[in-house]
Amino acid sequence: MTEGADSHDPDADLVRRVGQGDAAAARRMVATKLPRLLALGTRMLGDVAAAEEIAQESLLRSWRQAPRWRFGAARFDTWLHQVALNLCRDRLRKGRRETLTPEPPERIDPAPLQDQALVSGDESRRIARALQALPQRQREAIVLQYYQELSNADAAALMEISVEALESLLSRARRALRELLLEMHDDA
Amino acid sequence: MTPERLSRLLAAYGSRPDRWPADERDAAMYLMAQEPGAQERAREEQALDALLARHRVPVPHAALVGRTLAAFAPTSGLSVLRSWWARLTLAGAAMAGLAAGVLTLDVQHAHMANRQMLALSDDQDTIFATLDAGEVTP
Repeated sequence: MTEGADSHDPDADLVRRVGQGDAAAARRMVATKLPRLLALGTRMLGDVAAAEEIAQESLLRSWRQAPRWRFGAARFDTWLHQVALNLCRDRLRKGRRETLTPEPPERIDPAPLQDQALVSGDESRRIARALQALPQRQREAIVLQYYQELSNADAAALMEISVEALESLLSRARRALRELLLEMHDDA
Repeated sequence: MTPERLSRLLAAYGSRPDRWPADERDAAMYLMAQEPGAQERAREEQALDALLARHRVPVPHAALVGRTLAAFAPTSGLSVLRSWWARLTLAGAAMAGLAAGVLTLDVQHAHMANRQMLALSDDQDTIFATLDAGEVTP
C-alpha cells in the first residue's frame, strides 16, 4: 500500500479496452471505480448527492480520456482520484463562498449532515461527523491514505506535498479523530 | 529504525504494517517485537483503526450506474457505427443540397442569359430610351 506509482498499471488493459469503445470494459470500469469514487466524495463532502455527481463526472471524463491515455505516465486510478479530488475541492470552495464560512468549524455541528440517512448506524454517523469536523487538508490525507488505500507517495503527490508533510497531516488527523470520537461517545 | 520513527509510523499510518512504507516495514516490525511500549501504542492505534473502519458509505444505485454508462454510449462500437452512419447521411444530404443549389443556379443563370439575349436581340423601348442595337456593345 505504500509504494509509489510504478511502471505496471493494473488498470492498463481495462483503460485500453474502454478507449477502443468496449462496452463490457466500460461496465467493468463502472463496477470497480464508481464505488471508490462515491466513497471518496461522500467522505470528503459529507453529502451523498454531491458525491454522486462528482463520481459520475469523474468517470465521464475518463470516457473522454481513455482513447488518448498515455500508458506509463501515471496510474489511471491515481489520475481518476486527482479528477475527483479536484472536483471535491471546487465544491467545497464554492460551498464556503456561499456560506461565507472561511474555515471548517473546530467543533462538530450537532445538526445532522445531509443524506445521513443513507449512512446507517449511529456509530457510522458519528464517524462521518468527525470526518467533516476535520480541517480539509487533514480530511484529504486520511481519506486518501486510510480509506482509499492509496500509497503514501500517491496520496502525497495528489495533495502536492512531501511524504513527510503527509505523515504530519495523517498524525494530526488521527489524533483529532480520536479526540472527537471520544468526545462524541461521552456526549452520547 | 528508531523507537521515535516507529512511534511516528504508528501515529500516521495506524497499526497495520501493510499500510506502513514498504522500505521501513521489516525494520519497524522487528523493533516493535522488541518494544513493549510500541506494542501498547499499536493496540491504541488498532482500536482507532477498527472504529474508523466502521464508517459506511452508500454503494452506487442502479440509476447512477445507468447514467454513468449512458454517457459512454457515444464511444461504444455500435454507437460509433451509428454515429458514422449519421455523419455520412448528413454529409450526403449536404452534398445533395449543394448539388441541387448549383443546378438551380445554373438553370436560373441560363434562363436569365436567354432572356437577356432575347431582350437585347431586338430593338426595344426601355424605360430610359429606345434601345438602339448599334449602341449595344458586345
